Amino acid sequence: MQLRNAYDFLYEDPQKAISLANAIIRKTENHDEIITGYVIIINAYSSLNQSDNALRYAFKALDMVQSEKDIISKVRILGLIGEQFQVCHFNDESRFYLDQAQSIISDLRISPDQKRIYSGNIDAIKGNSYKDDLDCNFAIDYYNKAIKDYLRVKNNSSATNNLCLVYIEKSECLIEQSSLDSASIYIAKAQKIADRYDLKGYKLKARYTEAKNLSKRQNYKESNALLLSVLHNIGKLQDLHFRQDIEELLVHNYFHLNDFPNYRIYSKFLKKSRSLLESAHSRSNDKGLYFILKNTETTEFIPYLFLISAVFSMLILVFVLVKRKDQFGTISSL
Amino acid sequence: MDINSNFFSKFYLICCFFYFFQVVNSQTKEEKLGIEHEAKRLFRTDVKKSIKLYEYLLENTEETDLLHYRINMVRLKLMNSENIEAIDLMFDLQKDLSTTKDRHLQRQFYQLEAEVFKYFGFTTESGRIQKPEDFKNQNENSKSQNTLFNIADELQINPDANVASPQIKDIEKIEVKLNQNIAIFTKARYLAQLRQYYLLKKDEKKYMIYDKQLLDLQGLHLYQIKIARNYLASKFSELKQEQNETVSKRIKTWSLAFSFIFIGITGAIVYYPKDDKTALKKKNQVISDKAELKILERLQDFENSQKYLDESISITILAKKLDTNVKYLSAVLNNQKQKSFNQYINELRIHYITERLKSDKKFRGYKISYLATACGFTSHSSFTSSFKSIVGITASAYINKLNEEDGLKK
Repeated sequence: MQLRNAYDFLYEDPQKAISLANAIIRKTENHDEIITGYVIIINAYSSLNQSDNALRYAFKALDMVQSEKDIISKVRILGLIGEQFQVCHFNDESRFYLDQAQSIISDLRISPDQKRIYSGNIDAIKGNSYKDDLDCNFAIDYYNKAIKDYLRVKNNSSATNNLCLVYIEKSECLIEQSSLDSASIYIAKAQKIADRYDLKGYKLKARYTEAKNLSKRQNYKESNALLLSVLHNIGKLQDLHFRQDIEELLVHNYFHLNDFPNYRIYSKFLKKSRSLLESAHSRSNDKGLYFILKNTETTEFIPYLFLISAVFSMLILVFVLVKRKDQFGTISSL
Repeated sequence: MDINSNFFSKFYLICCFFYFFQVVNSQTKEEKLGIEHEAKRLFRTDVKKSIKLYEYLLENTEETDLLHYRINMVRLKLMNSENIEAIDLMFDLQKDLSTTKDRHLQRQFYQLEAEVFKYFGFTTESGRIQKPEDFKNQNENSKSQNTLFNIADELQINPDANVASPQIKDIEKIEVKLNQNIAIFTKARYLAQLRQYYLLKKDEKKYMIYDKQLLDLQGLHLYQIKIARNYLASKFSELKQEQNETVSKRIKTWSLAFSFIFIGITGAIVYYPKDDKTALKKKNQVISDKAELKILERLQDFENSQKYLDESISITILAKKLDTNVKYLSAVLNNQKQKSFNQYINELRIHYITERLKSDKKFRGYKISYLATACGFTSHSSFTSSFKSIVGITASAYINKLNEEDGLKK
């Protein structure tokens, strides 16, 4: 029940979700509840653009699942680490963890549908990492794999939600490649899911992508109308990146519409958003580097052999010396 | 005469060669200084040409100056937004610098590395690289002629920054320069100047054009930085992994060596006393010289009193009787008689019974079990085995032998 509460606050009030999840972790001794608590915290910090904190908790959770040999949660956490590194734009590092997660999925004793969801999630994040590297051909390959997996899963809200998001990401790549009609098809698919399940955040993202498509078709006015409605509905959503993308497209559209007053307004907003986002990225990257370097530490660093032989030798020496002292001590006492 | 003229002509030739070498060498040095000066002058206005000049210097330079030129080349590559190349160059340079002892060059490299990490947003790592002693010399370094420019000062694109508006006479020149092949940081400065100029002139269209160009340039720059951050982090983590593995290998080797040494020393200590029984003897003698003598005297009394025939005699009882302890009695028996307590008692008993068998013929007719009891043995079997081991034959064979001897005498 408390976990449900924390989940509900995840996107509305991430800070509250974090304190609720922390309280659960402190109170409970149930392993699954602790892991779920960590997952909430990781996602909450991520939506606060604090990937460094998200990574800190993700590595805590990873240590825990590794010590408990909980392979199923391990896949989940590795996926989250991959996602957080991707958010920090450390795409090589992201793929390193995602590959690790992928390599153990086949060994999991879970239902085929669950496997498809995990696999789909990993491919979706990999797609994002290639999209971030502006390698849309690769990205689309991974998005297609993810879509294939999600579509085979029946009656699972997680798979449907993620499918919606992958449709949006894929359509953005298609716009980048100027395949505007194909992009429209995937945007429509995403909008259909978002409307059916009332996924507020995804509805807004789908509308933004539609606006991007319209802008690319030089339909700047319609594009702006959509963007302004999205901006109006963002409300408390603290996704700086999304806000910056909207403002950037508005500036672009107003420039082409030769609308100087609006151009000035949104270019000011854009400059501010960029500055905020850049400092957030910079901070996350700075802290994130620590987690990358953590991965380079060799676990065999302690010279076990040396320690064992030293202790072993000392024990023998002490034993021999005590024995001898005993022998001579008695004789000398005569 | 011929020999002298030959010698002088050779000497003259050698002097000419050295003079020529010096002239060429100094000319080359001057030429290089000139090229470097020109490269430094051009880095803001034509960074690509500046890079070409440094490339020429790198191709035609001795080892010592090479590293210094390469440090500047990293800066120039960053200035030209060739971030990946700059990072590669920096890591190559780090490997090559590990062998040099030139502290000035090393300090320059640390400064460069710290600046590069800071430029890409890794401030914590940058602070770690910049050692305290380098901070002291930071001003000195940045003013140093060898440092081309400070990265943080030069490489900025901030569309929010206020810049002074240029004079109207310069506007045309700046607009021309914008279309030339210039670095994006220089371009950003020109765009900001033009934007400011048209804002003051209230030319909305032109303002928008230059502001949009500046925003696009910033977008491109941020994207390039993002890619470079990922690359720098990957390269750095690879390097750290390599370093950790090297250290780990070294520790393992040393650990193995120390383990062998430890085990060797322990082995030597454990086995040493085995071969050194004399040391133990010496120690016993030193400690108990007088006491040993006393115990020997008391042992003699014990032997004379024939108390060894007592079945209940044991080393503990005997030690008490002799007013000593078990270990010391055992040590005296070992050292002086080269026997254990059991051997000593058994020998005394067997010696007693053989004497009795010799002197008293009645004894020869007794059963073996009686003989055993008579000399203090509690069991028949231990008597027979002790008798055989001490005398060499069994008790009955010994009696037969005595009887035979007596028969022969008769």
